Amino acid sequence: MSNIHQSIAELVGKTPLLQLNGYNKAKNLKANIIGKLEYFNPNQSVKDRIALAMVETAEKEGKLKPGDTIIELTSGNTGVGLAAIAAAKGYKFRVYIQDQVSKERFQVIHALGGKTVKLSEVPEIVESIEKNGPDFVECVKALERHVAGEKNIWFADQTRNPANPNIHFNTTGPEIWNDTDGKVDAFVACVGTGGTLSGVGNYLKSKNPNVKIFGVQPTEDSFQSPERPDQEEITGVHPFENTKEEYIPANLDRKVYDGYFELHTNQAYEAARLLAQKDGVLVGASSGAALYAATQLAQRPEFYGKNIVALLPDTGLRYLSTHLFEA
Amino acid sequence: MSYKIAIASSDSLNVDLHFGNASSFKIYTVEGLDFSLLEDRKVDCNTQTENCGKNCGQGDGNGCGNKEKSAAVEAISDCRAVVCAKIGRNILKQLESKAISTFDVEVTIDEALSKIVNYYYKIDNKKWKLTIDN
Repeated sequence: MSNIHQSIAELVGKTPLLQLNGYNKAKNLKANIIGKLEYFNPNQSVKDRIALAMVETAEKEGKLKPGDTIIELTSGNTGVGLAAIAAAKGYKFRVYIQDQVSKERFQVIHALGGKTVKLSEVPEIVESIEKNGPDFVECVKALERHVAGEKNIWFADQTRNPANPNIHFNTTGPEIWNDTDGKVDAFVACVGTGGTLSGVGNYLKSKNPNVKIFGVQPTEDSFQSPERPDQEEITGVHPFENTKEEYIPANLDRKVYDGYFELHTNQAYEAARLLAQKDGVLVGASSGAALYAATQLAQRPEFYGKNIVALLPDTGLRYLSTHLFEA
Repeated sequence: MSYKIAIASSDSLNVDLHFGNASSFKIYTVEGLDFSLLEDRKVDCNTQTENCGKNCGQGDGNGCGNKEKSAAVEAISDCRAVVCAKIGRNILKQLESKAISTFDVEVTIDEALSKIVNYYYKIDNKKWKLTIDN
């Protein structure tokens, strides 16, 4: 019987769980760390899920129509995911992207047929930065002002769009539950928009309130500053505890997690490197961070013999211009 | 992080050439708020003779922007921005696809660079607390 798919939309999600036997043995762990390999998505990241979900939800709600332009504010995987879905579904895509990111990020969007607009070319955003400083929420508002008069556009808005955590509740969470046959004791994920942690966390707790949910955030010194101008950050991972209220991602359900870990970029890199060498799995910085946190969890006696699922968001191939795999 | 800016100038003092009329570009390297001339880079029109519209700089749509690949755009593809007196619409699209910003002004090179470098410095040094890297 033939099995030929007709669109990349059909290939999103249903990613495999891999027990990280090599890594677990190398670290002498008494718990089982299981990685959910999101790089199996058609454009190599977990963001393919929310890209498809946000688009399909908007179509159902009549907010996105044939010929429209999808817009988003991102330099990361969501841009790639949206550009690809737009290409597959026949929409136009335009992404607003920081000036100072690597050329590869621009190239990938262009290759997928999307258009890029640098933030320095959006007067409302430049003005907002002058007035309010680097405030993301204000910049989103500035972007909305910028496109206010434009017809036939739809703003994906991943940080506020409920389709983001909803798809994780409806797909990512159930996949983990089903593939572990309900034997999942803890779930660990980094927080960017908070969609994954919220959606998966809420689903798993709805099936078993005893599942423990843990978030991961970067340490203060993982960020660039005048003292550390070349500091590499854990791309896509943002603080949600011990930080200003207005910086906390809107899509994070603050009640869903039982605890959190804070770690430095170097620790994320360390875990990703060991995983590559012990299990042949090449993942990105935030995956390394989730894995490092899962490792710390695995060393707690209450998790001996337990299954800890760590969500590994993307492929390491997207980080070759960083020091991730270069000691 | 340093970057380059290409300038279309006939006299090394003023921005006075149409993009299509520049047989070479003055390439400046920028570090923070400082800039200096790196090189005078010739445009190798011969590499694209098949695509060459042979009518550069007239603004009538028959210049190298009209074909898919302009030698001039290729020559400055490592630059963040290009500054010239005038620029054609077709070329703008090619530059856009390479994420190269354009400034069409008729001022001295010093004036142009000072303004642009200051502008980029402000943009680049504003740390995004909630960064848009998702």
